[in-house]
Amino acid sequence: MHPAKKYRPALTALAVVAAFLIGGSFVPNFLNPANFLNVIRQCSIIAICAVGVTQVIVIKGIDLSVGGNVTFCGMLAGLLLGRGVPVPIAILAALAAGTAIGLVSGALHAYLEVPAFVATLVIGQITQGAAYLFNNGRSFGSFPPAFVFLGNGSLLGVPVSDYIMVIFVLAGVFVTTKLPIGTRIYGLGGNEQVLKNSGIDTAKIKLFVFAVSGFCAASAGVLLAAQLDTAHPTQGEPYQLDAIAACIIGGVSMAGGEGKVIMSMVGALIIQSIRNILNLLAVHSFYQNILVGVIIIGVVAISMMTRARRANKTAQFAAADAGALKP
Amino acid sequence: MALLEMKGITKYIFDSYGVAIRNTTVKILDKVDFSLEKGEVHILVGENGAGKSTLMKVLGGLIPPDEGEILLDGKPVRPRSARDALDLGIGFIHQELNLCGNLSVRDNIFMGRELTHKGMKDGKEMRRRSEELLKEMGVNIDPDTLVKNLSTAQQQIIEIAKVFSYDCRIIIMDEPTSSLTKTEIDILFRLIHRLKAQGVSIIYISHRLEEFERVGDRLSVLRDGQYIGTLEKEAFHVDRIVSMMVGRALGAMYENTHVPGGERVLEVRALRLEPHTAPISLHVNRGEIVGIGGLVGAGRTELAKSIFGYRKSFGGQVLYNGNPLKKLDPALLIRAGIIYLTEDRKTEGLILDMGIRQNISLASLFRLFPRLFMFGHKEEELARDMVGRLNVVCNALEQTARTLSGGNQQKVVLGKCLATQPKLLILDEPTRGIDVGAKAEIYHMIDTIARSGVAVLMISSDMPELIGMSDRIYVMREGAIVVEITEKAEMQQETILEHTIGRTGGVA
Repeated sequence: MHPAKKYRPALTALAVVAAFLIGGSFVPNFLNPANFLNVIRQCSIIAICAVGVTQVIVIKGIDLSVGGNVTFCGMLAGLLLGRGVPVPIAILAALAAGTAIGLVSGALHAYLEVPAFVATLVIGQITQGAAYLFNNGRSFGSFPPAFVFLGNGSLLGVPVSDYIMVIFVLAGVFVTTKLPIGTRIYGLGGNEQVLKNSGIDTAKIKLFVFAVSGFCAASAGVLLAAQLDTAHPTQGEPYQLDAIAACIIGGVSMAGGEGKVIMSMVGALIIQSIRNILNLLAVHSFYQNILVGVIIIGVVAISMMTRARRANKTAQFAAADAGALKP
Repeated sequence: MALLEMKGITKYIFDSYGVAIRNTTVKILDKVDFSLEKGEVHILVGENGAGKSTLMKVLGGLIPPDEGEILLDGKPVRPRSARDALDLGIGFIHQELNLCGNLSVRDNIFMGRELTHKGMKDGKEMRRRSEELLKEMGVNIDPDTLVKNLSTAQQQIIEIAKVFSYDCRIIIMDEPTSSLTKTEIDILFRLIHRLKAQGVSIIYISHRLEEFERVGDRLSVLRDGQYIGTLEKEAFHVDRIVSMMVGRALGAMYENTHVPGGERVLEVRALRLEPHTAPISLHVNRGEIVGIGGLVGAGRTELAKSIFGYRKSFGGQVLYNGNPLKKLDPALLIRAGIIYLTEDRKTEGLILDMGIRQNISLASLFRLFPRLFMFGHKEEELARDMVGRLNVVCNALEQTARTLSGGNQQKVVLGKCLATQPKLLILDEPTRGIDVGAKAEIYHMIDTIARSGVAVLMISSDMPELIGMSDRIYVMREGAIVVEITEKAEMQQETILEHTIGRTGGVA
């Protein structure tokens, strides 16, 4: 491999970190450790959602039920905790519900061949609507200390939320790179017919991926409720776009087959940093959304342009071809 | 006893939902018998639409037969999926590439049966075995390369490697050489001989008559879904095979009734495909057919696309009727009378889910309907005219392009080009992967077009076609023209081949 190619990822990462530090040093308090810990604590919600969404986009799908699912599972956990259900059982129930919601989207997509876009949009609406019913549109709050600790506590100076985030990301990386199903997920995004011809039940893979995304969204929903000590029927909504944007910024191709879970986490960190910087600069939240949107478009445009240029470069002529096929 | 016997296989025509229509008159396969001995290479030929692929898809578990039985070692079997067939030892090398471009060579080879160690992928072992397999096949490709970074020919080799790795007893090859160069074909044939020695039986579908003698032991012919007959190796005579295939004696393949004129329709001056390649200059006269030869990847398609404005080129000038073209833009060029017929009809030539009518009129809508709305029957008249002139075999003008056979699809794409009333026609592999009958018809059409004064620039990898049709030939190598052959007498396969691979030896 050409050295420039080999070190490209490392150089890109270095450039991002440098830009981050230099840019950050102009913003008052951004690099303050307390603020920084806050940023990475908040970014955990986006990152956990993105672990699932990455895999969905890799199989050429899209998950538009993340927002609804985050809200629904947060509200469900809140409802159960309010009724005095023990913390672990409430959490497990919410996670099971979120996974089931993912399974329903997955089944609609895999077996009824409903486009993922439609299936998840509808499921997102249904879960959002159901979330309003739990407490007639009102929120739940004042959760047990053990539950709030998950969201706001720290171990060894690092927020508990981030331990959870790291576990999710590592699990995502493990599944996508070390297990056979990981190869099949990427293969499914590349060419579904190949997998079918190899005797693989692709519907099961789709079901798995959407269930994973549902599980991740549910975990993010529970964690968000713990961080805010509140479960409100609109609080999941912003995470819908942020989760997808994190993946795109992290280099996941909307055309499927390409993208890494770990890079989506970096994408989540970037989005949360931007939001944080805008907060520190006292930019109104309405403008924040506009700016974040513009930044996402910029990133997508740049990645599309570099990809097109690289594709042009790999167009080869015969001499190179024949050379690689020595008899 | 034969290793494999297929008896009375019948498949009715099915509608767009894949449900068989029990229509006694139209059958895709009509009581076809087929047998295969251990360790033989059995060639299967027939025109496109004759049912070869369908018969093999039945054997490969991709389509269930409506009637008939399959006996393997005398025992009836019924493969219901590709995986079933593989478990029975029947491997299928598809005509279309069957690979995931975004995965590595190794992951493609082991797709669906990944080697694991304690539940995790055993990457090292898969790498080692892929390396071994590729080395055994005599090719030098790193198993960690992403498939999309390989050339089409290399991808075809990987496809073959993948099926070989299943330890199959029967391997079906559906036109495996259609995108291979001579060197790669040699590699493939060496492999076939080795497999034969190991007792593997091979069913080989091909359109290339010269390949039959090189690898075949027996040859069976299908025509219109019916089994016509089987020949032993000693009885392989081209005339006989062709007449069995088409059911009639074939007229002269190539026609040359056109007369090149004097005016230059197209002139390319010092155009570079890449900044580092040599400049290209060429010209095409009125009523002349000019061939471009060379290996796959020599830059021929890139040249055509550069002229047609599909792709960026570097420096140089393109003159049309003596005037330099300022802007190379397909939409403007089509209006000016230049049209390019793509080498890849399925992805670049046709909108597969649209009807024949819409496909034919697609590039001429500007001419048919200069105002905003599509009124009247002009489109239908145009399509009916083209279908008639090109002899497209179809049920209706509304039939979707996807359901046509390869030859008829190609005729529709050609019809689309002709509908624009071109003065310069750039053809890229006009007869790739189509049967002899359709080829002859397309040659006749090209000759007719040239006779009417259209300048034709034709890229072709098919040597007899290149030599038979062209008035002049340019040969390309490494993105540049290496020679221009103007005399018919000098147009010899050997001469052209020498230029395509380089006189100094190179890969040959």
